[in-house]
Amino acid sequence: MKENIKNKFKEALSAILPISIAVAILCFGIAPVSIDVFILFIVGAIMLVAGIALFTLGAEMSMTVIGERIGAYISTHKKIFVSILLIVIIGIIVIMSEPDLSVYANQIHEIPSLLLVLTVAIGSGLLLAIAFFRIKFGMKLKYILMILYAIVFLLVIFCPKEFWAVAFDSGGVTTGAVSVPFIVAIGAGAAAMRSDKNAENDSFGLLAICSVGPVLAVLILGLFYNVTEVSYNLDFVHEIGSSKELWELFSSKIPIYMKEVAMSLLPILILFILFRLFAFKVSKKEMYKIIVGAFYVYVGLVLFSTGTKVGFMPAGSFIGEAVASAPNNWIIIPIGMILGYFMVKAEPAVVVLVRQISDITDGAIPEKLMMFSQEIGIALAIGLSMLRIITGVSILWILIPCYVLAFILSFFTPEIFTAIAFDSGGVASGTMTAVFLIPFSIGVCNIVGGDVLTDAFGIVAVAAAIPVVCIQLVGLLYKYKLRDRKEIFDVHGKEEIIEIDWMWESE
Amino acid sequence: MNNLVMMVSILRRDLSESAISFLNKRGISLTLGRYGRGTATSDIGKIFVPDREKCVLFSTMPYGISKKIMTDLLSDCGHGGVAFTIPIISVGGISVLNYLKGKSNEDEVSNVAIKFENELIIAVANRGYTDNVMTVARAAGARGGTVIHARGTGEEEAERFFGTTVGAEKEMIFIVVESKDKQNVMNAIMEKAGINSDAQTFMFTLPVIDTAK
Repeated sequence: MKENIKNKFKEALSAILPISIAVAILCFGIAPVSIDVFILFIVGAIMLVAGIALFTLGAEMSMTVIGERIGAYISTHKKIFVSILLIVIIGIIVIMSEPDLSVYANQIHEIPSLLLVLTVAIGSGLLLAIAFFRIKFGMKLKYILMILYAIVFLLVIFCPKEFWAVAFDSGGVTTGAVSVPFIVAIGAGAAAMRSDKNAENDSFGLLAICSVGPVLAVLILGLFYNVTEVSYNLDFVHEIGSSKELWELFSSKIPIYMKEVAMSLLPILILFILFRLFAFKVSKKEMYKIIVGAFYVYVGLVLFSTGTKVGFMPAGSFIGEAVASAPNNWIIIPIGMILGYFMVKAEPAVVVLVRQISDITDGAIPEKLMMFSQEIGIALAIGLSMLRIITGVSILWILIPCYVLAFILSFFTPEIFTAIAFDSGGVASGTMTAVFLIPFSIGVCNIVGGDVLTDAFGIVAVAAAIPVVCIQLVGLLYKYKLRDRKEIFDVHGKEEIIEIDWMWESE
Repeated sequence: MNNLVMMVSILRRDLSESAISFLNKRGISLTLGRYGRGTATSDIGKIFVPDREKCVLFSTMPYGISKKIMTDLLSDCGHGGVAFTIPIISVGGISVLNYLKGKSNEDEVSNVAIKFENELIIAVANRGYTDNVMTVARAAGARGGTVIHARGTGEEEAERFFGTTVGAEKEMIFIVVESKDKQNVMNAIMEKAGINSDAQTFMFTLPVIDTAK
């Protein structure tokens, strides 16, 4: 009983400790920050450990279960039209629930936040339906994605440059801690009902298609919506004079996040209750468990949001500035890579996704392998982004080759890895990216003199693209490794059934 | 000697990799794994934590070495795990038999008569009703169970949807009981969570030669 909870805290600690130590070493060495910022960071890190532990504990008990049940229900509904309608509605609700999205939308002043949230949610909802339909027509995921990304890059040409970053970022922020476990579980639930050989492969790919939705929707919005300049604002600089002020800072923020997280979880719970009333049966005990699980998720996400936004954001920004002011500013490349490498583990959506992948494949794709390829992917992505800030090359020089390579690889990689790779793409860039890496790159930009809007924010788009290539490469290696492991049978002519004689002890 | 058994070991999920490499080292050539979950013992505590996560490993080996392998496996990566062996009655071909035997160089215990004092109840229930089944089973003397999620492919339930076959969602519950307790446990489940209840549990048993904890 307790062992279970202890394990979750241990896992959470091992997720947060590396990034905390890396940041602490930076702070003591080349990137001195004020003691206020450092204390905030430490308190934030402690909140994160508790937050991630509770979140992962609760996600397994509630979100995953709800998603799987709904996925199974929809995929066996006899009227296809009803299933499609349901999936669009569910997609819209789930995406609107994603806390990162509303926070992100509020940071952009030029587009009304409700308009942005709705655009993104409708985009995702419709694409979720396409992802579901794909299974009906037995279309291969890679072809659908190729068409979608071709449209994306076509739109990019016509869309004002200011919208690029917003578009790609929206794709990244929609796949966060709330939507990922839910959407993956819907896919798994739907696939669990099938018994053909592609069922397992098709468990994945919903997220991949779904996260192109926001990009497309925002780019289309950009064609019609006339904005000359899009700007962001980040206000996070807090000065603490005493320990009392530290407490007041956290306690003043907690209620804000309590409300925010409640608003995002409520629709999902309502959705579940509606399904419970009209569609499927759930035993009483399972129901209680889902409620308790949802409560863990709630507390976990509140702690996580507060910890990251109050503790990690200022640290990211100041460290970015401090590192970039060092005499050799190329040093931001390795430092960015190290921070990125350690940060992935602390992203709750990644933790849950990696876990679900291992679950669905019954351990054939182990958690460690997936985590490692995510870490390498993000490290490379951050390294490239930093290089971009120094040199100022256009983001398309990274994105286009990257996706072209990803699609070429998809012809050689086992299908399931292609699906998982594209699923993982947007997931790695979640809350931690938004609250730590973006402020970090803004800090770097401020010193190096890059364009904050196109350089710093593009980090999300790059972080979504590189892992797609990395995970597929891992898939290729995996395929070759498996090829060597064919079982060896020593066959002699025609074989006959062998009956084994057991000596049974007489009663 | 051709007496083969299937060993089923139910271990903590995070130990599955070390268990598989342990079995490989001991010359066991076939181990298939599947994730499942345990059923907690206390009813009140149950809703506050997720179910214990388990891996269920199926491996084949000669009967002669199975006892030793089983106890060694549990002392190495047990931590609350269990293992038991089920006799294999026939094999499809001599090369498969040789493969299933593995390449163990342990000393085999000479062929002794076997008997079964334990049985493995496999109860198949509708998804979401494991708790009903386990509550009843426990009250009748079962100690614990492990659940594997499965989909049914029964002919009536197989329907075409979106061009693919769909089956009903089921849960497979593994319960090892002593043969003398079997009647109680099975009767209780049949009566309170049987085919006429919402759980629609149906079950059968397999002989278990040895068990280890």
